[in-house]
Amino acid sequence: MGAVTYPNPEVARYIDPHFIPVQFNVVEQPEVIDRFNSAWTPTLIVQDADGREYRRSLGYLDPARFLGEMALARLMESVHRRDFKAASVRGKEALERTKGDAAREPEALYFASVAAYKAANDAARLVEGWNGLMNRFPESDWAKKAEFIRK
Amino acid sequence: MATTNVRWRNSLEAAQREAREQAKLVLIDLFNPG
Repeated sequence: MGAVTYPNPEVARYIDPHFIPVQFNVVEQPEVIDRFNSAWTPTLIVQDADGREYRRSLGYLDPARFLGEMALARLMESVHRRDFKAASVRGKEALERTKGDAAREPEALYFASVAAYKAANDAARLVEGWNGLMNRFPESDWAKKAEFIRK
Repeated sequence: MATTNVRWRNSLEAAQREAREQAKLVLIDLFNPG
């Protein structure tokens, strides 16, 4: 991450307005393994200022996947805060940032659809979004979680 | 001028204070330099 992802200018430009980044070296500070309940590196955790966790990722992420993770973290924070207007905007951003990432785009589609539904109070938005998810990524875990709307 | 380097903090508590003041999230990175 330190050699490729963080030096990437787009990554740095994305972190600055949205996150306060804090880094711990697990060799110099082994106590952080227990503190954050993670024994593998790299571990990325996104929390709010009160320590509520919204996203956790283990293992290396290239710049594109890192940006997708961060966009999903921001989306999930607004969903859990029940700020669905913000979530709707962040959902669109997460869709852009995860485009072509088979591991993350289905999740972005799932929750962007939730956000659009809740923001508009219109269940048709959920059905439309989830149908798109099931059509485009039928084998994904997120499509399986949406399948019940077809039954 | 746009930021081109990540400015890492080394204290979670200080990062949380900044995050609260600036309405941002905290990104925590655990890394092994080896």
